[in-house]
Amino acid sequence: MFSRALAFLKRDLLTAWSYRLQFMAQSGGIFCTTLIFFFMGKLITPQQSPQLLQYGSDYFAFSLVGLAFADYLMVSVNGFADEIRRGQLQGTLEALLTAPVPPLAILLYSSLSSFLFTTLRVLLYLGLGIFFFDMRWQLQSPALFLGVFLLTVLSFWGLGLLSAAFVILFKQTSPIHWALGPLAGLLGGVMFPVQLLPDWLRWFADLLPITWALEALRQVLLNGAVFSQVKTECMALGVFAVIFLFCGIIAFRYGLRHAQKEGSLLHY
Amino acid sequence: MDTAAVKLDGIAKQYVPPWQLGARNRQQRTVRALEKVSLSISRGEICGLLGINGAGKTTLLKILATLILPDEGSGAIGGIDLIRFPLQVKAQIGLVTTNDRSFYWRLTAGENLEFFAALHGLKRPKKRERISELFALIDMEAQMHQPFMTLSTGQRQRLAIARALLADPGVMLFDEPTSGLDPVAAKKLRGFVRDTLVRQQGKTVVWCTHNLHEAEQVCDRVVVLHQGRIVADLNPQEIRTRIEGQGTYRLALMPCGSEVLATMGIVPLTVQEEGAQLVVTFHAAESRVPEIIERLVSAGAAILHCSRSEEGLEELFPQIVAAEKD
Repeated sequence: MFSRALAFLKRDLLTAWSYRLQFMAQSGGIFCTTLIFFFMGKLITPQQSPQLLQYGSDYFAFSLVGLAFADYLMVSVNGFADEIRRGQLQGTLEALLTAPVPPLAILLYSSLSSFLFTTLRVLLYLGLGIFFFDMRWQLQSPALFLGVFLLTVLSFWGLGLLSAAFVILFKQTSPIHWALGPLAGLLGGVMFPVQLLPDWLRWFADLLPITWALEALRQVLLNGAVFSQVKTECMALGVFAVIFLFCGIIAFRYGLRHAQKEGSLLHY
Repeated sequence: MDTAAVKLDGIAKQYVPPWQLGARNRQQRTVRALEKVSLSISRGEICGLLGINGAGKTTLLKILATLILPDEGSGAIGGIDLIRFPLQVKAQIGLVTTNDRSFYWRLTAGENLEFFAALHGLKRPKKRERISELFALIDMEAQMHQPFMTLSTGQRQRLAIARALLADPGVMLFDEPTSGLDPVAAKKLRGFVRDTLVRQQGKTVVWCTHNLHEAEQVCDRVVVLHQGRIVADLNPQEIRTRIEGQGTYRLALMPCGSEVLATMGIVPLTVQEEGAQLVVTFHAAESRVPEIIERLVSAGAAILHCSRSEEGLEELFPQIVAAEKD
Protein backbone atom coordinates (compact mmCIF):
# COMPACT_ATOMS: atom_id res chain seq x y z
CA MET A 1 0.00 0.00 0.00
CA PHE A 2 2.77 2.40 1.02
CA SER A 3 4.82 1.77 -2.13
CA ARG A 4 1.76 2.37 -4.31
CA ALA A 5 1.01 5.64 -2.54
CA LEU A 6 4.63 6.63 -3.00
CA ALA A 7 4.49 5.77 -6.71
CA PHE A 8 1.53 8.12 -7.21
CA LEU A 9 3.33 10.86 -5.29
CA LYS A 10 6.47 10.39 -7.36
CA ARG A 11 4.46 10.45 -10.61
CA ASP A 12 2.81 13.75 -9.68
CA LEU A 13 5.97 15.35 -8.32
CA LEU A 14 7.89 14.48 -11.49
CA THR A 15 5.06 15.86 -13.62
CA ALA A 16 4.87 19.03 -11.50
CA TRP A 17 8.64 19.41 -11.71
CA SER A 18 8.35 19.44 -15.50
CA TYR A 19 6.17 22.56 -15.11
CA ARG A 20 8.63 24.47 -12.89
CA LEU A 21 7.49 27.92 -14.00
CA GLN A 22 3.91 27.22 -12.89
CA PHE A 23 5.20 26.12 -9.48
CA MET A 24 7.17 29.35 -9.07
CA ALA A 25 4.23 31.46 -10.23
CA GLN A 26 1.99 29.78 -7.62
CA SER A 27 4.47 30.55 -4.83
CA GLY A 28 4.60 34.17 -5.96
CA GLY A 29 0.79 34.26 -5.97
CA ILE A 30 0.67 33.01 -2.37
CA PHE A 31 3.12 35.72 -1.31
CA CYS A 32 0.97 38.42 -2.97
CA THR A 33 -2.27 37.08 -1.42
CA THR A 34 -0.65 37.05 2.03
CA LEU A 35 0.49 40.61 1.51
CA ILE A 36 -3.02 41.70 0.47
CA PHE A 37 -4.54 40.24 3.63
CA PHE A 38 -1.76 41.72 5.74
CA PHE A 39 -2.74 45.21 4.59
CA MET A 40 -6.46 44.43 4.88
CA GLY A 41 -5.75 43.36 8.45
CA LYS A 42 -4.33 46.82 9.12
CA LEU A 43 -7.59 48.27 7.86
CA ILE A 44 -9.99 46.06 9.79
CA THR A 45 -9.62 46.43 13.55
CA PRO A 46 -11.53 44.84 16.49
CA GLN A 47 -12.91 48.29 17.27
CA GLN A 48 -14.64 48.27 13.90
CA SER A 49 -15.57 44.58 14.03
CA PRO A 50 -16.08 43.35 17.59
CA GLN A 51 -16.76 39.83 16.22
CA LEU A 52 -12.99 39.54 15.74
CA LEU A 53 -12.41 39.66 19.50
CA GLN A 54 -13.26 35.96 19.87
CA TYR A 55 -10.59 35.06 17.28
CA GLY A 56 -7.61 36.86 18.83
CA SER A 57 -8.56 40.32 17.52
CA ASP A 58 -6.42 40.02 14.38
CA TYR A 59 -8.19 40.06 11.01
CA PHE A 60 -4.97 39.09 9.20
CA ALA A 61 -4.67 35.87 11.23
CA PHE A 62 -8.42 35.25 10.93
CA SER A 63 -8.47 35.52 7.14
CA LEU A 64 -5.19 33.66 6.62
CA VAL A 65 -6.47 30.61 8.54
CA GLY A 66 -9.75 30.80 6.59
CA LEU A 67 -7.97 31.05 3.27
CA ALA A 68 -5.44 28.32 4.04
CA PHE A 69 -7.95 25.72 5.22
CA ALA A 70 -10.58 26.54 2.60
CA ASP A 71 -7.88 25.34 0.22
CA TYR A 72 -8.23 21.87 1.79
CA LEU A 73 -11.96 21.96 1.17
CA MET A 74 -11.48 22.78 -2.49
CA VAL A 75 -8.73 20.22 -3.03
CA SER A 76 -10.76 17.50 -1.27
CA VAL A 77 -13.95 18.21 -3.16
CA ASN A 78 -12.28 18.72 -6.53
CA GLY A 79 -9.24 16.46 -6.24
CA PHE A 80 -10.99 13.10 -6.72
CA ALA A 81 -13.30 14.37 -9.44
CA ASP A 82 -10.46 16.16 -11.22
CA GLU A 83 -8.33 13.01 -11.20
CA ILE A 84 -11.11 11.00 -12.84
CA ARG A 85 -11.90 13.73 -15.35
CA ARG A 86 -8.19 14.10 -16.20
CA GLY A 87 -7.88 10.32 -16.59
CA GLN A 88 -10.95 10.22 -18.85
CA LEU A 89 -9.73 13.08 -21.01
CA GLN A 90 -6.04 12.09 -21.16
CA GLY A 91 -6.73 8.39 -21.56
CA THR A 92 -4.77 7.20 -18.53
CA LEU A 93 -7.85 5.98 -16.66
CA GLU A 94 -8.01 2.70 -18.60
CA ALA A 95 -4.42 1.83 -17.72
CA LEU A 96 -5.03 2.68 -14.05
CA LEU A 97 -8.22 0.64 -13.86
CA THR A 98 -6.65 -2.45 -15.39
CA ALA A 99 -4.14 -2.57 -12.53
CA PRO A 100 -5.05 -4.86 -9.62
CA VAL A 101 -5.80 -1.97 -7.26
CA PRO A 102 -9.30 -1.09 -5.94
CA PRO A 103 -10.62 2.03 -7.72
CA LEU A 104 -11.24 3.80 -4.41
CA ALA A 105 -7.59 3.29 -3.47
CA ILE A 106 -6.49 4.66 -6.87
CA LEU A 107 -8.55 7.76 -6.16
CA LEU A 108 -7.03 8.24 -2.71
CA TYR A 109 -3.46 7.71 -3.92
CA SER A 110 -4.05 10.08 -6.83
CA SER A 111 -5.13 12.88 -4.55
CA LEU A 112 -2.12 12.56 -2.22
CA SER A 113 -0.01 14.98 -4.20
CA SER A 114 -2.80 17.59 -4.21
CA PHE A 115 -2.93 17.27 -0.42
CA LEU A 116 0.82 17.55 -0.19
CA PHE A 117 0.86 20.67 -2.37
CA THR A 118 -2.04 22.14 -0.39
CA THR A 119 -0.21 21.44 2.87
CA LEU A 120 2.85 23.20 1.44
CA ARG A 121 0.65 26.13 0.43
CA VAL A 122 -0.94 26.26 3.91
CA LEU A 123 2.49 26.13 5.56
CA LEU A 124 3.67 28.86 3.22
CA TYR A 125 0.65 31.03 4.07
CA LEU A 126 1.06 30.52 7.81
CA GLY A 127 4.87 30.67 7.65
CA LEU A 128 4.85 33.96 5.78
CA GLY A 129 2.21 35.28 8.18
CA ILE A 130 4.08 34.24 11.33
CA PHE A 131 7.66 35.01 10.32
CA PHE A 132 7.29 38.04 8.08
CA PHE A 133 4.02 39.73 8.98
CA ASP A 134 3.81 39.22 12.72
CA MET A 135 0.70 37.05 12.68
CA ARG A 136 -0.43 36.32 16.24
CA TRP A 137 -1.11 32.67 17.04
CA GLN A 138 -1.42 30.53 20.13
CA LEU A 139 -1.41 26.75 19.76
CA GLN A 140 -1.75 24.89 23.08
CA SER A 141 -2.49 21.39 21.88
CA PRO A 142 -0.95 20.18 18.60
CA ALA A 143 -2.73 16.82 19.09
CA LEU A 144 -6.10 18.53 19.24
CA PHE A 145 -5.22 20.53 16.14
CA LEU A 146 -4.36 17.29 14.30
CA GLY A 147 -7.61 15.68 15.50
CA VAL A 148 -9.71 18.60 14.28
CA PHE A 149 -7.77 18.68 11.03
CA LEU A 150 -8.36 14.95 10.47
CA LEU A 151 -12.11 15.26 11.09
CA THR A 152 -12.18 18.24 8.74
CA VAL A 153 -10.41 16.37 5.94
CA LEU A 154 -12.58 13.25 6.37
CA SER A 155 -15.79 15.23 6.07
CA PHE A 156 -14.41 17.05 3.02
CA TRP A 157 -13.38 13.71 1.45
CA GLY A 158 -16.98 12.49 1.67
CA LEU A 159 -18.04 15.47 -0.44
CA GLY A 160 -15.14 14.74 -2.81
CA LEU A 161 -16.37 11.18 -3.33
CA LEU A 162 -19.88 12.43 -4.08
CA SER A 163 -18.38 14.79 -6.63
CA ALA A 164 -16.31 11.96 -8.17
CA ALA A 165 -19.41 9.78 -8.46
CA PHE A 166 -21.12 12.59 -10.37
CA VAL A 167 -18.21 12.83 -12.84
CA ILE A 168 -18.25 9.06 -13.43
CA LEU A 169 -22.00 9.06 -14.05
CA PHE A 170 -22.47 12.25 -16.03
CA LYS A 171 -19.01 12.91 -17.54
CA GLN A 172 -19.06 16.55 -16.55
CA THR A 173 -17.95 18.74 -13.70
CA SER A 174 -20.03 18.11 -10.62
CA PRO A 175 -22.35 20.87 -9.31
CA ILE A 176 -20.68 20.35 -5.90
CA HIS A 177 -17.49 21.58 -7.59
CA TRP A 178 -18.86 24.98 -8.62
CA ALA A 179 -21.39 25.44 -5.82
CA LEU A 180 -19.22 24.70 -2.82
CA GLY A 181 -16.55 27.36 -3.43
CA PRO A 182 -18.94 30.34 -3.41
CA LEU A 183 -21.07 28.75 -0.66
CA ALA A 184 -18.02 28.27 1.55
CA GLY A 185 -16.94 31.84 0.86
CA LEU A 186 -20.34 33.24 1.67
CA LEU A 187 -21.51 31.02 4.50
CA GLY A 188 -18.48 29.12 5.78
CA GLY A 189 -16.71 32.00 7.50
CA VAL A 190 -13.65 31.99 5.26
CA MET A 191 -13.28 35.77 5.03
CA PHE A 192 -15.55 37.05 7.76
CA PRO A 193 -17.02 35.64 10.97
CA VAL A 194 -20.34 33.83 10.47
CA GLN A 195 -21.70 35.87 13.39
CA LEU A 196 -22.13 38.68 10.88
CA LEU A 197 -24.71 36.66 8.94
CA PRO A 198 -28.44 37.09 9.61
CA ASP A 199 -29.99 34.26 11.65
CA TRP A 200 -31.75 32.61 8.72
CA LEU A 201 -28.47 32.40 6.76
CA ARG A 202 -26.56 31.11 9.77
CA TRP A 203 -28.91 28.16 9.78
CA PHE A 204 -27.65 27.27 6.26
CA ALA A 205 -24.06 27.99 7.33
CA ASP A 206 -24.39 25.34 10.04
CA LEU A 207 -25.13 22.75 7.36
CA LEU A 208 -21.65 23.15 5.90
CA PRO A 209 -18.74 21.24 7.49
CA ILE A 210 -16.34 24.09 6.68
CA THR A 211 -18.20 26.42 9.07
CA TRP A 212 -17.52 24.06 11.98
CA ALA A 213 -14.03 23.23 10.79
CA LEU A 214 -12.89 26.85 10.54
CA GLU A 215 -14.44 27.73 13.87
CA ALA A 216 -12.61 24.87 15.60
CA LEU A 217 -9.31 25.43 13.77
CA ARG A 218 -9.31 29.16 14.56
CA GLN A 219 -10.11 28.55 18.21
CA VAL A 220 -7.31 25.96 18.48
CA LEU A 221 -4.73 27.89 16.44
CA LEU A 222 -5.44 31.49 17.40
CA ASN A 223 -6.95 31.24 20.91
CA GLY A 224 -5.15 28.19 22.24
CA ALA A 225 -8.49 26.41 22.86
CA VAL A 226 -8.54 22.97 24.53
CA PHE A 227 -10.89 20.08 23.68
CA SER A 228 -13.69 21.11 26.04
CA GLN A 229 -13.89 24.47 24.25
CA VAL A 230 -14.31 22.96 20.77
CA LYS A 231 -16.22 19.81 21.73
CA THR A 232 -19.38 20.83 19.87
CA GLU A 233 -17.47 21.61 16.68
CA CYS A 234 -15.60 18.29 16.88
CA MET A 235 -18.85 16.37 17.33
CA ALA A 236 -20.46 18.19 14.40
CA LEU A 237 -17.43 17.43 12.23
CA GLY A 238 -17.55 13.78 13.32
CA VAL A 239 -21.19 13.50 12.29
CA PHE A 240 -20.46 15.20 8.94
CA ALA A 241 -17.50 12.87 8.36
CA VAL A 242 -19.56 9.72 9.01
CA ILE A 243 -22.55 10.84 6.91
CA PHE A 244 -20.59 12.27 3.97
CA LEU A 245 -18.06 9.43 3.85
CA PHE A 246 -20.81 6.80 3.97
CA CYS A 247 -22.83 8.55 1.24
CA GLY A 248 -19.69 9.28 -0.76
CA ILE A 249 -18.45 5.67 -0.76
CA ILE A 250 -21.91 4.32 -1.65
CA ALA A 251 -22.35 6.88 -4.45
CA PHE A 252 -18.85 6.24 -5.83
CA ARG A 253 -19.36 2.46 -5.86
CA TYR A 254 -22.78 2.86 -7.47
CA GLY A 255 -21.36 5.24 -10.10
CA LEU A 256 -18.51 2.89 -10.90
CA ARG A 257 -20.75 -0.17 -11.24
CA HIS A 258 -23.29 1.73 -13.30
CA ALA A 259 -20.58 2.98 -15.67
CA GLN A 260 -19.14 -0.54 -15.95
CA LYS A 261 -22.60 -1.86 -16.84
CA GLU A 262 -23.25 0.91 -19.35
CA GLY A 263 -19.75 0.49 -20.76
CA SER A 264 -19.19 4.21 -20.28
CA LEU A 265 -16.42 4.14 -17.70
CA LEU A 266 -13.84 5.50 -20.11
CA HIS A 267 -16.14 7.83 -22.05
CA TYR A 268 -15.66 11.55 -21.74
CA MET B 1 -9.13 -30.09 -14.39
CA ASP B 2 -10.14 -27.27 -16.75
CA THR B 3 -7.11 -26.23 -18.81
CA ALA B 4 -8.79 -23.23 -20.43
CA ALA B 5 -6.95 -19.96 -19.87
CA VAL B 6 -10.00 -17.99 -20.92
CA LYS B 7 -13.55 -19.22 -20.70
CA LEU B 8 -16.71 -17.34 -21.58
CA ASP B 9 -20.18 -18.76 -21.31
CA GLY B 10 -23.22 -17.06 -22.85
CA ILE B 11 -21.88 -13.52 -22.53
CA ALA B 12 -24.40 -10.90 -23.64
CA LYS B 13 -24.06 -7.15 -23.58
CA GLN B 14 -26.24 -4.36 -24.81
CA TYR B 15 -25.73 -0.68 -24.24
CA VAL B 16 -27.02 2.74 -25.15
CA PRO B 17 -24.52 4.61 -27.32
CA PRO B 18 -23.87 8.19 -26.15
CA TRP B 19 -25.54 9.65 -29.29
CA GLN B 20 -28.74 7.70 -28.53
CA LEU B 21 -29.15 8.85 -24.93
CA GLY B 22 -31.86 11.33 -25.96
CA ALA B 23 -34.02 8.73 -27.77
CA ARG B 24 -37.23 7.83 -25.95
CA ASN B 25 -37.74 4.25 -26.96
CA ARG B 26 -35.37 2.04 -24.94
CA GLN B 27 -35.53 -0.67 -27.63
CA GLN B 28 -34.44 1.80 -30.32
CA ARG B 29 -31.71 3.27 -28.14
CA THR B 30 -30.11 -0.04 -27.29
CA VAL B 31 -27.34 -1.62 -29.32
CA ARG B 32 -26.66 -5.31 -28.94
CA ALA B 33 -22.89 -5.46 -28.67
CA LEU B 34 -22.64 -9.17 -27.82
CA GLU B 35 -25.15 -11.98 -27.98
CA LYS B 36 -24.61 -15.26 -26.14
CA VAL B 37 -20.90 -15.44 -26.80
CA SER B 38 -19.31 -18.65 -25.53
CA LEU B 39 -15.63 -19.25 -26.01
CA SER B 40 -12.83 -21.31 -24.55
CA ILE B 41 -9.17 -20.51 -25.18
CA SER B 42 -6.48 -22.99 -24.18
CA ARG B 43 -3.26 -22.06 -22.42
CA GLY B 44 -0.50 -21.08 -24.83
CA GLU B 45 -2.93 -20.43 -27.66
CA ILE B 46 -3.13 -17.28 -29.81
CA CYS B 47 -6.78 -16.68 -30.44
CA GLY B 48 -7.74 -14.00 -32.92
CA LEU B 49 -10.97 -12.06 -32.55
CA LEU B 50 -11.75 -11.03 -36.09
CA GLY B 51 -14.50 -8.67 -37.14
CA ILE B 52 -15.29 -5.41 -38.84
CA ASN B 53 -15.77 -2.23 -36.80
CA GLY B 54 -18.71 -2.59 -34.43
CA ALA B 55 -18.60 -6.40 -34.44
CA GLY B 56 -18.16 -6.47 -30.66
CA LYS B 57 -14.44 -7.29 -30.44
CA THR B 58 -13.45 -4.41 -28.18
CA THR B 59 -16.49 -4.90 -25.94
CA LEU B 60 -15.50 -8.53 -25.51
CA LEU B 61 -11.91 -7.56 -24.75
CA LYS B 62 -13.03 -4.99 -22.18
CA ILE B 63 -15.24 -7.57 -20.51
CA LEU B 64 -12.17 -9.82 -20.26
CA ALA B 65 -10.25 -6.87 -18.79
CA THR B 66 -13.09 -6.35 -16.25
CA LEU B 67 -13.66 -2.79 -17.48
CA ILE B 68 -17.20 -3.62 -18.63
CA LEU B 69 -19.70 -5.83 -16.82
CA PRO B 70 -21.70 -8.23 -19.02
CA ASP B 71 -25.52 -8.22 -18.80
CA GLU B 72 -25.69 -12.01 -18.93
CA GLY B 73 -23.38 -14.96 -18.84
CA SER B 74 -20.24 -15.79 -16.96
CA GLY B 75 -16.54 -15.91 -17.61
CA ALA B 76 -13.23 -16.81 -16.05
CA ILE B 77 -9.55 -16.12 -16.64
CA GLY B 78 -7.23 -18.80 -15.34
CA GLY B 79 -10.23 -20.27 -13.52
CA ILE B 80 -10.98 -17.00 -11.66
CA ASP B 81 -14.48 -15.56 -12.02
CA LEU B 82 -14.43 -12.32 -14.03
CA ILE B 83 -17.42 -10.75 -12.34
CA ARG B 84 -16.90 -11.78 -8.74
CA PHE B 85 -13.13 -11.35 -8.45
CA PRO B 86 -12.09 -8.51 -10.79
CA LEU B 87 -8.94 -7.61 -8.85
CA GLN B 88 -7.60 -11.17 -8.97
CA VAL B 89 -8.44 -11.34 -12.68
CA LYS B 90 -6.57 -8.07 -13.30
CA ALA B 91 -3.46 -9.69 -11.81
CA GLN B 92 -3.74 -12.45 -14.46
CA ILE B 93 -4.07 -10.23 -17.53
CA GLY B 94 -2.08 -7.69 -19.49
CA LEU B 95 -4.02 -5.32 -21.74
CA VAL B 96 -2.32 -3.73 -24.74
CA THR B 97 -4.20 -1.03 -26.59
CA THR B 98 -3.17 1.46 -29.25
CA ASN B 99 -3.99 4.41 -26.99
CA ASP B 100 -0.65 6.13 -26.47
CA ARG B 101 -2.38 8.68 -24.22
CA SER B 102 -2.54 5.98 -21.58
CA PHE B 103 1.04 6.90 -20.63
CA TYR B 104 2.34 9.99 -18.88
CA TRP B 105 3.94 11.99 -21.62
CA ARG B 106 6.19 14.16 -19.49
CA LEU B 107 7.74 11.18 -17.69
CA THR B 108 10.45 9.02 -19.22
CA ALA B 109 9.75 5.53 -20.55
CA GLY B 110 11.45 4.10 -17.44
CA GLU B 111 9.52 6.32 -15.01
CA ASN B 112 6.27 5.28 -16.68
CA LEU B 113 7.08 1.60 -16.24
CA GLU B 114 8.22 2.17 -12.66
CA PHE B 115 4.87 3.77 -11.83
CA PHE B 116 2.83 0.95 -13.35
CA ALA B 117 5.14 -1.66 -11.77
CA ALA B 118 4.33 -0.22 -8.34
CA LEU B 119 0.64 -0.41 -9.17
CA HIS B 120 1.11 -4.10 -9.89
CA GLY B 121 2.70 -4.54 -6.48
CA LEU B 122 6.32 -4.95 -7.61
CA LYS B 123 8.86 -3.77 -5.07
CA ARG B 124 12.55 -2.98 -5.20
CA PRO B 125 14.91 -4.62 -6.11
CA LYS B 126 12.64 -6.94 -8.11
CA LYS B 127 10.93 -3.95 -9.69
CA ARG B 128 14.19 -2.57 -11.11
CA GLU B 129 15.24 -6.02 -12.35
CA ARG B 130 11.90 -6.62 -14.07
CA ILE B 131 11.94 -3.23 -15.75
CA SER B 132 15.49 -3.72 -17.06
CA GLU B 133 14.54 -7.20 -18.24
CA LEU B 134 11.51 -5.85 -20.10
CA PHE B 135 13.44 -3.00 -21.73
CA ALA B 136 15.90 -5.61 -23.00
CA LEU B 137 13.04 -7.81 -24.18
CA ILE B 138 11.43 -5.04 -26.23
CA ASP B 139 14.86 -3.89 -27.40
CA MET B 140 14.49 -0.37 -26.02
CA GLU B 141 17.27 -0.15 -23.44
CA ALA B 142 18.60 3.00 -25.12
CA GLN B 143 15.23 4.73 -24.77
CA MET B 144 14.71 3.98 -21.07
CA HIS B 145 15.55 7.53 -19.96
CA GLN B 146 13.91 9.24 -22.89
CA PRO B 147 10.67 11.20 -22.25
CA PHE B 148 7.66 9.23 -23.46
CA MET B 149 6.58 12.06 -25.75
CA THR B 150 9.77 11.70 -27.81
CA LEU B 151 9.24 8.00 -28.60
CA SER B 152 8.07 6.81 -32.02
CA THR B 153 4.69 5.10 -32.51
CA GLY B 154 6.36 1.71 -32.72
CA GLN B 155 8.37 2.32 -29.55
CA ARG B 156 5.23 3.45 -27.70
CA GLN B 157 3.49 0.28 -28.77
CA ARG B 158 6.41 -1.84 -27.55
CA LEU B 159 6.37 0.04 -24.26
CA ALA B 160 2.64 -0.73 -23.95
CA ILE B 161 3.52 -4.42 -24.30
CA ALA B 162 6.24 -4.09 -21.68
CA ARG B 163 3.75 -2.46 -19.32
CA ALA B 164 1.27 -5.28 -19.84
CA LEU B 165 4.06 -7.78 -19.09
CA LEU B 166 5.18 -6.16 -15.82
CA ALA B 167 3.41 -8.62 -13.54
CA ASP B 168 4.17 -11.52 -15.88
CA PRO B 169 0.47 -12.26 -16.57
CA GLY B 170 -0.66 -15.53 -18.10
CA VAL B 171 -3.09 -13.93 -20.54
CA MET B 172 -2.31 -11.03 -22.86
CA LEU B 173 -5.11 -9.05 -24.47
CA PHE B 174 -4.20 -7.10 -27.61
CA ASP B 175 -6.63 -4.59 -29.10
CA GLU B 176 -5.67 -3.95 -32.75
CA PRO B 177 -2.01 -3.64 -31.75
CA THR B 178 -0.61 -3.08 -35.25
CA SER B 179 -2.90 -0.24 -36.27
CA GLY B 180 -0.76 2.84 -36.75
CA LEU B 181 2.42 0.81 -37.21
CA ASP B 182 4.32 0.64 -40.49
CA PRO B 183 4.43 -2.83 -42.18
CA VAL B 184 7.96 -3.57 -40.92
CA ALA B 185 7.15 -2.67 -37.30
CA ALA B 186 3.86 -4.58 -37.52
CA LYS B 187 5.64 -7.71 -38.78
CA LYS B 188 8.25 -7.41 -36.03
CA LEU B 189 5.53 -7.09 -33.41
CA ARG B 190 3.66 -10.13 -34.71
CA GLY B 191 6.88 -12.13 -34.65
CA PHE B 192 7.65 -11.00 -31.11
CA VAL B 193 4.24 -11.98 -29.81
CA ARG B 194 4.24 -15.33 -31.57
CA ASP B 195 7.83 -16.40 -30.96
CA THR B 196 8.73 -14.77 -27.65
CA LEU B 197 5.52 -14.35 -25.70
CA VAL B 198 3.73 -17.49 -26.78
CA ARG B 199 6.29 -20.03 -27.93
CA GLN B 200 9.02 -19.16 -25.37
CA GLN B 201 7.03 -17.82 -22.41
CA GLY B 202 3.88 -19.89 -22.89
CA LYS B 203 1.44 -16.99 -22.62
CA THR B 204 -2.11 -17.09 -23.89
CA VAL B 205 -2.94 -14.30 -26.32
CA VAL B 206 -6.25 -12.81 -27.39
CA TRP B 207 -5.58 -10.72 -30.49
CA CYS B 208 -8.31 -8.38 -31.74
CA THR B 209 -8.03 -7.37 -35.37
CA HIS B 210 -10.04 -6.50 -38.44
CA ASN B 211 -7.21 -7.61 -40.70
CA LEU B 212 -7.78 -11.07 -42.11
CA HIS B 213 -4.23 -11.55 -43.35
CA GLU B 214 -2.82 -10.55 -39.97
CA ALA B 215 -5.14 -12.98 -38.21
CA GLU B 216 -4.01 -15.74 -40.54
CA GLN B 217 -0.33 -14.96 -39.93
CA VAL B 218 -0.32 -14.60 -36.15
CA CYS B 219 -3.16 -16.70 -34.74
CA ASP B 220 -3.50 -20.40 -34.00
CA ARG B 221 -7.22 -19.98 -34.21
CA VAL B 222 -9.55 -17.24 -35.38
CA VAL B 223 -12.96 -16.53 -33.93
CA VAL B 224 -15.02 -14.40 -36.30
CA LEU B 225 -17.42 -11.97 -34.67
CA HIS B 226 -20.23 -10.36 -36.62
CA GLN B 227 -22.93 -8.17 -35.11
CA GLY B 228 -22.07 -9.40 -31.65
CA ARG B 229 -22.21 -13.09 -32.50
CA ILE B 230 -19.56 -15.70 -33.17
CA VAL B 231 -20.14 -16.67 -36.78
CA ALA B 232 -17.07 -18.84 -37.31
CA ASP B 233 -14.25 -20.49 -35.43
CA LEU B 234 -11.47 -21.28 -37.89
CA ASN B 235 -7.87 -22.42 -37.98
CA PRO B 236 -5.31 -20.52 -40.12
CA GLN B 237 -5.44 -23.22 -42.83
CA GLU B 238 -9.17 -22.73 -43.27
CA ILE B 239 -8.71 -18.96 -43.54
CA ARG B 240 -5.91 -19.41 -46.06
CA THR B 241 -8.13 -21.65 -48.16
CA ARG B 242 -10.83 -19.01 -48.11
CA ILE B 243 -8.45 -16.20 -48.95
CA GLU B 244 -6.74 -18.15 -51.71
CA GLY B 245 -9.65 -20.17 -53.08
CA GLN B 246 -11.86 -17.31 -54.23
CA GLY B 247 -10.99 -13.85 -55.27
CA THR B 248 -12.26 -10.63 -56.77
CA TYR B 249 -10.64 -9.77 -60.12
CA ARG B 250 -10.44 -6.55 -62.06
CA LEU B 251 -10.30 -6.80 -65.82
CA ALA B 252 -9.58 -3.83 -68.09
CA LEU B 253 -10.43 -4.30 -71.76
CA MET B 254 -11.17 -2.29 -74.89
CA PRO B 255 -14.86 -1.39 -75.13
CA CYS B 256 -16.92 -4.31 -76.47
CA GLY B 257 -20.54 -5.41 -76.71
CA SER B 258 -22.51 -7.19 -74.00
CA GLU B 259 -22.52 -10.38 -76.14
CA VAL B 260 -18.74 -10.57 -75.66
CA LEU B 261 -19.05 -10.23 -71.88
CA ALA B 262 -21.78 -12.89 -71.89
CA THR B 263 -19.15 -15.44 -73.00
CA MET B 264 -17.47 -15.14 -69.56
CA GLY B 265 -19.98 -17.63 -68.20
CA ILE B 266 -20.38 -15.71 -64.90
CA VAL B 267 -22.25 -12.63 -63.81
CA PRO B 268 -19.81 -9.69 -63.35
CA LEU B 269 -19.97 -7.70 -60.10
CA THR B 270 -19.56 -4.36 -61.90
CA VAL B 271 -19.15 -3.18 -65.48
CA GLN B 272 -18.18 0.43 -66.07
CA GLU B 273 -16.44 2.63 -68.57
CA GLU B 274 -13.29 4.33 -67.32
CA GLY B 275 -11.98 6.67 -70.03
CA ALA B 276 -11.25 4.61 -73.12
CA GLN B 277 -11.44 1.32 -71.18
CA LEU B 278 -14.17 -0.97 -70.02
CA VAL B 279 -13.54 -2.20 -66.47
CA VAL B 280 -15.19 -5.40 -65.32
CA THR B 281 -14.94 -6.84 -61.82
CA PHE B 282 -15.96 -10.39 -61.07
CA HIS B 283 -15.72 -12.94 -58.33
CA ALA B 284 -14.39 -16.40 -59.16
CA ALA B 285 -12.19 -19.26 -58.06
CA GLU B 286 -8.54 -18.70 -58.94
CA SER B 287 -8.51 -21.83 -61.13
CA ARG B 288 -11.30 -20.51 -63.34
CA VAL B 289 -9.66 -17.17 -64.26
CA PRO B 290 -7.52 -18.46 -67.25
CA GLU B 291 -10.61 -20.11 -68.73
CA ILE B 292 -12.64 -16.87 -68.43
CA ILE B 293 -9.89 -14.86 -70.10
CA GLU B 294 -9.58 -17.44 -72.88
CA ARG B 295 -13.31 -17.24 -73.59
CA LEU B 296 -13.22 -13.46 -73.76
CA VAL B 297 -10.23 -13.49 -76.12
CA SER B 298 -11.96 -16.08 -78.35
CA ALA B 299 -15.00 -13.81 -78.54
CA GLY B 300 -12.77 -11.00 -79.80
CA ALA B 301 -12.15 -8.98 -76.63
CA ALA B 302 -8.90 -7.02 -76.37
CA ILE B 303 -7.74 -7.47 -72.77
CA LEU B 304 -5.44 -4.74 -71.45
CA HIS B 305 -4.93 -5.78 -67.85
CA CYS B 306 -6.11 -8.31 -65.28
CA SER B 307 -5.41 -8.13 -61.54
CA ARG B 308 -6.65 -9.64 -58.36
CA SER B 309 -7.89 -7.17 -55.75
CA GLU B 310 -7.14 -7.66 -52.05
CA GLU B 311 -10.21 -9.15 -50.52
CA GLY B 312 -11.43 -7.33 -47.44
CA LEU B 313 -13.18 -8.82 -44.49
CA GLU B 314 -16.47 -7.36 -45.71
CA GLU B 315 -16.28 -9.42 -48.92
CA LEU B 316 -15.32 -12.58 -47.09
CA PHE B 317 -17.97 -12.37 -44.41
CA PRO B 318 -20.85 -13.64 -46.58
CA GLN B 319 -18.69 -16.64 -47.53
CA ILE B 320 -17.64 -17.37 -43.97
CA VAL B 321 -21.18 -17.09 -42.66
CA ALA B 322 -22.56 -19.20 -45.53
CA ALA B 323 -19.88 -21.87 -45.06
CA GLU B 324 -20.64 -22.10 -41.33
CA LYS B 325 -24.37 -22.51 -42.07
CA ASP B 326 -23.61 -25.36 -44.50
